[in-house]
Amino acid sequence: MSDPKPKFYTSWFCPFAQRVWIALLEKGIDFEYIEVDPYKKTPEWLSVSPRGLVPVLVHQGKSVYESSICIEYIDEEWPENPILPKAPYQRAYERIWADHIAKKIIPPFYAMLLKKETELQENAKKEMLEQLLVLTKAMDPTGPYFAGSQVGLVDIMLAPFAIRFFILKHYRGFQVPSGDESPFARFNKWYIAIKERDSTGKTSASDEEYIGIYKRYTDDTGQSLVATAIRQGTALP
Amino acid sequence: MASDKPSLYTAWHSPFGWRAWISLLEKGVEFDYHETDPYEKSPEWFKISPRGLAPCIRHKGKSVYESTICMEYIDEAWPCTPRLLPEDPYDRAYVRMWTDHVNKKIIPHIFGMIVHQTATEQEKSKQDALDGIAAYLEAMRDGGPYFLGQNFSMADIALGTFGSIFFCMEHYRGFKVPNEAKFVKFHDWIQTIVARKSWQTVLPPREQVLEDWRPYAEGVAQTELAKAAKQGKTP
Repeated sequence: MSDPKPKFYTSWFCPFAQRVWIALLEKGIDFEYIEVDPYKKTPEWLSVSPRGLVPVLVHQGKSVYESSICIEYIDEEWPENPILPKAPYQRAYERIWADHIAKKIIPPFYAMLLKKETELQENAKKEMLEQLLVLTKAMDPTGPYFAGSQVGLVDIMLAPFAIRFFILKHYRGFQVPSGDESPFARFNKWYIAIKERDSTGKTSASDEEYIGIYKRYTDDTGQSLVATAIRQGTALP
Repeated sequence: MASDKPSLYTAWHSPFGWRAWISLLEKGVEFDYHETDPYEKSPEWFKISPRGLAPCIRHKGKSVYESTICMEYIDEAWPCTPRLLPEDPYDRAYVRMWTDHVNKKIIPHIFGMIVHQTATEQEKSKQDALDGIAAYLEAMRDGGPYFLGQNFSMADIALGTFGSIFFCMEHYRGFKVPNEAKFVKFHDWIQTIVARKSWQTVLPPREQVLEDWRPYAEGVAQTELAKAAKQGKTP
């Protein structure tokens, strides 16, 4: 039985799932949106998502999970409007910087919110800015997107977190320096371009909704695997 | 002039490095091997590998690093057989998901059981590693002898590099993959893998492997790897 329309299992507040949502929209794929509560680890949910996490794509009865793997699957299954370039080195370059986001930018993002001690929050801010600067220097000089004039994997992997930076400002006073002379000028140019894209707007909730949902990280009641990992100082799931 | 012949910068003792090394050997690619100590943070090393990571492949004037990214790069830059990822998009996602599983749910516990110094922590790491291995074996497709069945892939390399030195975890921590029930498949699989010419080329002698892991097992290694491993984070 042919099942051309993929099912996208997601939670409205999840930045990892937002990445896949953005990719589906950028590719113009017709899909079914299914909102789930990933904290309810029911047997039905675990049969769709073995790790119990969002995002999951189910296509032709088979599950794909992990946001970057979902994006690469989408890109390969529906080749129009490519997200990854064709040349092997350019593909590796996108994956390298997506990996940098995962290992160097996401952890301080969460640490800044979850850590109770001011010193640790300040360390996270410092780390975040350092690693954002490293990423900024790897960007195509003209842009506006990471690799140039087309949106690609790295843009999609970073966008949901960048649009949540205002939450870091609200709770922790974190800000990326602005100004044309700032070393972050290129990053700010990227951010403006990404924020303006339809796919970003359509997949984002309101500022108030985000501020509300992230409160539980800052008052240490967050129960997600991400929150637990940050508290324990272990790798993110 | 940027060369078409790749250079592999790696450390002889690193199972992460073996992933890239084995991939090049499997493809029959001619390459230059550069023995590297990634903990020697020299400016020259950062010019070759901007994040200071090994393995690193230099090819046509560009650097590719992170072992999993190296394997995909090698498969795409030299798309001859054996393909390290299959053609079908879902099968490619399957290989990537289970490679990711090896990286997140098995390898950190292999390191964990060695670097943790208390019996309680070691036993937990051993159990977690076995849980991760059991899931991998359950995901293995029928037909064998490889993860995908008849076809060798990146998923075999991802676990098979570490799997080939489990004797070291047994030596220091009494870690054994049982030879029964849900673990039975492991032993046929690893024997087939290790018999491949590429594995035979990269695997150092047993005694050298044991010596290399001793400082970690005895809690005296000061490397970033040791620190990261203690936190359950591995490159």
